[in-house]
Amino acid sequence: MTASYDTLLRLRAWQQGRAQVRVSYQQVRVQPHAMLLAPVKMAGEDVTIFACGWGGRSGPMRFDFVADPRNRDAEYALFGRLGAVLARYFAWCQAHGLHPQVWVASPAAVRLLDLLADRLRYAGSGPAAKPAEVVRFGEHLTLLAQRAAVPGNQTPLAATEVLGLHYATGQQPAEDAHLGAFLAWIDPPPGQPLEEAVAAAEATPMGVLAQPDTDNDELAGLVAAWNAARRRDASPAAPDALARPVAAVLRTVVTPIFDAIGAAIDAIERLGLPELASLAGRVAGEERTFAAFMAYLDRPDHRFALRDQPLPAALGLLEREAAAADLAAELALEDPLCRAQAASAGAALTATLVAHQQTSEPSVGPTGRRSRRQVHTITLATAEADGRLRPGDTFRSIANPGLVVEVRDFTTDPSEGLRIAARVTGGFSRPGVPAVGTVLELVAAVPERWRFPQKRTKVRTRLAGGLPWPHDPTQPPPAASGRPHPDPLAVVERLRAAGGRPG
Amino acid sequence: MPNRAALAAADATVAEVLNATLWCQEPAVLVTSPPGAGKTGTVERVAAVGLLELDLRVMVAVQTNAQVVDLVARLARNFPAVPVWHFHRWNLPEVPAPLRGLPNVRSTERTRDLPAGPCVVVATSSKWAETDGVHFDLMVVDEAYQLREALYIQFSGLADRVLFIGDPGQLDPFTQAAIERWRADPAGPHRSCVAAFIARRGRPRSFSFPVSRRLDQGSVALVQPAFYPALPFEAAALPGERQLRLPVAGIGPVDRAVTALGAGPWSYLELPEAHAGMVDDDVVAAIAGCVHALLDRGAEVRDEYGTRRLAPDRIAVGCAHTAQTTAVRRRLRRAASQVTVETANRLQGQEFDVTIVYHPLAGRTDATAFHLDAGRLCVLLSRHRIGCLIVGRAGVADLLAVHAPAAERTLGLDDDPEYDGWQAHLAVLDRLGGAAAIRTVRR
Repeated sequence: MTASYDTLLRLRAWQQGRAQVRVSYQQVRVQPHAMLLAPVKMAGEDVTIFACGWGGRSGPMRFDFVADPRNRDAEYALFGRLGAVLARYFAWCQAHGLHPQVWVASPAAVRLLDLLADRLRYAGSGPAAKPAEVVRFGEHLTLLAQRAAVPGNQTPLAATEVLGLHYATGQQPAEDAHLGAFLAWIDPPPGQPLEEAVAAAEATPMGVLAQPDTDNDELAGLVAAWNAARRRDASPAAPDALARPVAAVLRTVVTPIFDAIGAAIDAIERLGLPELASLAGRVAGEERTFAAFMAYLDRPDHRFALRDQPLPAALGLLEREAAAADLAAELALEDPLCRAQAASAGAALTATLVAHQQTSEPSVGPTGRRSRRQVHTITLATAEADGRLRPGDTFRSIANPGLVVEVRDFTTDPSEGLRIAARVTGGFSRPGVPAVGTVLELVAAVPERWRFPQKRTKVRTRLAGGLPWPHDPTQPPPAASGRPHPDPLAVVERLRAAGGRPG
Repeated sequence: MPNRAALAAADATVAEVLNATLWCQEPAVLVTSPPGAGKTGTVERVAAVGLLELDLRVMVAVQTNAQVVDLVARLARNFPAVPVWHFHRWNLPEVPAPLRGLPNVRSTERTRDLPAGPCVVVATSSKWAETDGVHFDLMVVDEAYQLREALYIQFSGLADRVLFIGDPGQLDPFTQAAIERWRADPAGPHRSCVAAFIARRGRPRSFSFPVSRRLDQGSVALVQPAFYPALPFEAAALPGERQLRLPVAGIGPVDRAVTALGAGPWSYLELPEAHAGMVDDDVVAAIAGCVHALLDRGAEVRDEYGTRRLAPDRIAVGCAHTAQTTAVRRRLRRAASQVTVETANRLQGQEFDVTIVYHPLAGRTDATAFHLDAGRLCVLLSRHRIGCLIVGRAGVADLLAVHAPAAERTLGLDDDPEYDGWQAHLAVLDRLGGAAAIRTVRR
């Protein structure tokens, strides 16, 4: 996000007391079969689930909980039940050729799912061995963890982040992490000052923890009572009876979160924006990724590395970077408002072609062949006062992506704004340099979603026979051999003085 | 009269590197270097001797196209007997100007054009990552601390043995991708290829250059303890050997700061404290004023090569943000259009007579990991041969005091660039601030 444009939108939101729309197109396809998920953990227990609400976009919230997640048997039983829910959902998506779409309230919830995946997907052995259904739950969560790190992903989706793609509030970016507060900016309650509405919304937890008061004053005593009964009474009926009050409190924590996720989805759909053109491709990619993941999971020899080997790690990082670059390029290309944001980051430019000069210059090709080449130099004028340009920056025309210009220099003219001297480095024959007076919409990059899969295949093929020795400590390096030269610098001087020899 | 003892020590290091890499055929050699120590010269020597004396196939991986052109041109000029292959990207429209007319340079984009026998081939790491079907005896990785493991793994198998050479004080490889999964892995894909190699295989045979040919002793006295506490080095230039002269007098606060460069390599122009955001118009104006003052006052440079007029293309302005470079460039007069105005990332590996630095913390209300990065400040403060003028604002010390690093340490990793940077900022401020700072009122 570009600071200046983002700040402008936030100031406008603050001035008008209402969130401002920041895009012209919908950035995420809300799937009719989306699953809303609201997990809550116990304070002090970082990688567990205390209670969870889930459900579709219509219909009631389903709810499950564990009276004390520190009790391993009870906790695993909950994981088993939640795992069965997620497995059924994944199976349904697989059968229909769709990808799952799991919505949570915030990045904190995504992080919790990531940590749970790491904890649960390894079976372990001996007394610490996990039940198969718990391991499968961890494996399914692994898909969500993997996809969460890839920009432009369609699952899992944190409601605050998706709202942030579409709306700008008049508060600090960090304050947007509270879903209730964000929704208050989108739908300010009538008759109440916005600041009060936001403060009131923030009183309701929207992350993955209950309020400390709820923990201390209500849950702590109820959980202790359940544990005491469990230790005292062999009959399961007594602990069950004491678990119900725990569930009642937890339900009051989970329900507002679940409802807020639904409200966030409604807020996005209510905009009625058309879908970004490239969104269909991203959805198809998500479906392919999901199908491949499930196919891998069906293999009896499937395994997930605790620590990535060098090659999967490298490819994982490259995939994330390629996805980020492609997403940024798609947004700048397809959405005028996103392009305005990109412009203040130097990644887009709208300018009028005010002069065009064609000259013929001597040139030496890479083969050494001498010729004359046509050089097209253009002058662009733009009123954009806050651009970030550097000589050497290149831009492509949105209308004709084959047309490439390279910035050579720029000056500020008090009466005419920014004047940019540029050279046309591609596309001057076809599509040809536009006529003087043409307004050019330029972007720094165009999406190349084909490139990373091609790169991945190539690298995997190249390294199919094993990693080179610098990356594989099990391989011996080549042996050192030979003896030092008594005066290597004398050799250097002798060679420096030597004349040329044929190449 | 340069520091002959230091230069002799540097030559001895080069001899050891040549022996270990070429005659003893160590599988891996690491050369760490302070700024301006002669890395490129060492790469040239290794490549030339490897080809001409030992008939090796040598590939050189550098990190930018500009570095490829620079290295090929230098190698071709300094060793006329070495046929140098400029292995470039697809569809390069023409040979870069510095390579034209060099009889021993060959350019190609195709692997099949490369010779089957002994040769020296120079390309970017990105180009090597796209290359198959060739194999070399020796790979030289220049600026190795800037090459990420994720890229290096794609072409590390192209050669049997490797020579890493680089400056550990500069900016680490950078990614905006989520790296939580590999954060605690010392050989993670986001780490430099040197760090990953050491984590996997232990430290290879290693050498350090003990001298900087670029920085003079006054500059080394600040840069070495602040940024290279584990890499002792001294200056090749003796005190007083290099000097900036300003034949025309100037008045005003900016001129005082420029004039101070005549007395030593550092000058710190401190504007009054203010919160000004990413682009501070006053700082921008002061930087442009300093550039113009250097040119208007007919600045001359005296060094071991003689005395000459300070040309605009020997001046650089270094900033942390692109927006700042744009703002500075727009303030410069046409006569200063040859002045390089760049971010620290793009100034890496470059050298100028005089640099003017936009202090990364000037006018800020916070000090993030980006602004505290030791590598960024190190690059900005180590590009100059003669003098470095820093433009900042009062209040940096207070800012550092209230923005101590968050101490978010990662299990398994000893290095902490944010803390190192915070310490380096304090050290630099201690050296430049106080009485030495030239304070000014608003323009």
